[in-house]
Amino acid sequence: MRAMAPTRIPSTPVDRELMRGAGPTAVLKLLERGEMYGYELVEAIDKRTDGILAMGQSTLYPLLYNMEAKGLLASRWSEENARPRKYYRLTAAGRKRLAADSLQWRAVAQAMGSLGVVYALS
Amino acid sequence: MTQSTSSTLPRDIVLLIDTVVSRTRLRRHERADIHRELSAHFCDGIAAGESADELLAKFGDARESAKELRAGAIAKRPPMDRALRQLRLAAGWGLVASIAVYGLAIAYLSTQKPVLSFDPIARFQASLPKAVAGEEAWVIYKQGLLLLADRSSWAPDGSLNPTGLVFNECGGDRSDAVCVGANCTPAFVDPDWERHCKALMERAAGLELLSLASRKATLGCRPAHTWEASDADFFPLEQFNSLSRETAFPLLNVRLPHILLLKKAGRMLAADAVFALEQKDGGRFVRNISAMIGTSMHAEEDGILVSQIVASGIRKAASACIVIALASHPQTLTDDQLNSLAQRLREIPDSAYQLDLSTELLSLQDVMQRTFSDDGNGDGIYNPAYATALMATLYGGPSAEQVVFTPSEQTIAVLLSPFGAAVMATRKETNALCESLFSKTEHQSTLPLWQQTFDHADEFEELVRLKSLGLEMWFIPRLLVPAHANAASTRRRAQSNTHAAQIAIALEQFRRANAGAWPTSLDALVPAYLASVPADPYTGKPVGYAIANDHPLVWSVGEDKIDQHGIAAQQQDERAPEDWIWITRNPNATPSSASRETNEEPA
Repeated sequence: MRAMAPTRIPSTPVDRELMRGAGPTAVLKLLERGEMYGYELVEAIDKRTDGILAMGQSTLYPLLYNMEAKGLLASRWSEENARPRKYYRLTAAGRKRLAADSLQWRAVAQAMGSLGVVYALS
Repeated sequence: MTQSTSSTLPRDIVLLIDTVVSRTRLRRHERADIHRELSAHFCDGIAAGESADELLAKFGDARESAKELRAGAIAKRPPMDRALRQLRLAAGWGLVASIAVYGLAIAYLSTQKPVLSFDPIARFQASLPKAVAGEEAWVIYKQGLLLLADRSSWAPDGSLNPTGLVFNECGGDRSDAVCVGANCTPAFVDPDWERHCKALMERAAGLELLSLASRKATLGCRPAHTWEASDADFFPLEQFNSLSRETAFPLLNVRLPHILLLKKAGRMLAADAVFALEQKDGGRFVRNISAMIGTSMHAEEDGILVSQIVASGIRKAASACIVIALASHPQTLTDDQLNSLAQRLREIPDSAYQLDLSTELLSLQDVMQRTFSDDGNGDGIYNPAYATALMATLYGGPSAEQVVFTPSEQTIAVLLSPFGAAVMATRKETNALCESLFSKTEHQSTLPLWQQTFDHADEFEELVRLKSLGLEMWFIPRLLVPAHANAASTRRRAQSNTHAAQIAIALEQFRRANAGAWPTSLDALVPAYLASVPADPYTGKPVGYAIANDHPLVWSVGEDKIDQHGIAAQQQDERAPEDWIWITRNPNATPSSASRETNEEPA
């Protein structure tokens, strides 16, 4: 049997329910390397996921507030630049959560790969 | 900072931010934080080269955004803060739900209207003795009273004054016209006594009519909440009838002016009896005493509690007059007259010392049928909205019409209706309680005082104490029942006055038959002069008897049940309890008890 050729992934935003699970992990992942402010996060998610996980302010900021409430993120206002910005960073609990979520997503991706929904991860 | 940041943004974006922030309905500092962050976000977008339209398009729906931001900001609040918010929310919804339920309850109760299942006036009047033509006393009483009344009772044009008939001249309005004084000689302590005697002598015809009336079989007066026009020269009709309330509580509003007049008739008969003693007219004395007893029987004919109390008072005064007569003017009465008095006292039935609360119960049941709903099985729920007229009747005093409930007060009553229905005992419970209390109280009155164990007031207080809202639960009984608390003992106590009079007569009869010697004990009076020695009402043992200063002394140990051998408290210690002196001839020996007992107003 001929191997199945890889299919181009359409760059359409994912379903809202799927986003509900993927959004927090994406934010945690982006903040792993350092603190970022809201617009920066929106742009980063958009660019790095090719728009698939793109989220507007109406989704991002409530998400950030919730994660902050759960202790996964911490924030601070910075007046150092021309404009004031609110920076978010990972907390220890956030890092722990990111590690756990990464494992779960990996497992999901493998399972989906096994089923042929996505390419199996190497 | 926020201001300066947002001032660089396009107007549409500023408007969007303001709208979203405003719609979050968060606390001021939370809104300020979101406003600042969104402004920074849009500034970053503009700085990155995005157009206002692009940014607005990416933002999404303002309403949805505000909702999400609100949820997120609330999630950031401290746990205690969120818990309090949840509590407030729950309380708010609880309040809304309660108000809704309460409103529904008001609506439901407004459909639960009282149903009048019986006519209390008709039932009451059906309970009155059947009048026999020619044997009705009331018409004759009226004629006698009109003759005895002061001329000042009528205005110059002949119309009755608003105060009604006045009997000042004959002593009918004086509670102390007779039976006053430590030495049982009432005439000498009443400054108006001579004036009364003169008036009584001039109006002897009126007294004779009272006496004639007292011998009739029935009173023949049918109390109602309005009086006939034919009574216009007798009662201040305008005053009485204007107070009546056809739509309120007719039985509670039944007017009893005739009872007051019979009470005054009793006083005038008593005054004339004492006057007869002074004139050494034993026949008139006996006639007046007999008339007092007959009047008392007529007074209680309607079965209303106050009538029974008035009747007891009139009989008590008659007995006191006999004791006074035999203490101060024994020679005035012949043997036959003594026999006649003894016979008249024996004719008083035991029911005259018992309590009949059937009319009171009927009255309560009428109140219930007008303030409770009716489920057709004798049960129902109380509704304060129908009780405002009751309150006016009870608290309005003599002019209940003056207590008019305004629409706002009526509205308050309607608003209180669910509370009343929830707290108040049901109609069946209230009825059962009243029947039980009344039945026990009536039974008590059939027993001698020393056997009376049921305390109406204590029993009711205990019931009220059993529940935290007892006072409210038994609202209707609490308003109307306490008046009956002491009625059983009051009625039975009056029997002792009769016994005192019977002993006084028997002692005098014995003395006459034994050459002026008093018996050594009351047993010597049995059976020739007394059927038996009356028992002390407080112990059940024979009453005390002694010869003091060559005169008989008869006493009961009194409420404290301590026998002080008929010695009055004042001679020992003012604070000491006293014996209840029934008979004495020594003015110094009993300055208190006997006079007080006989001093009491008929009612």
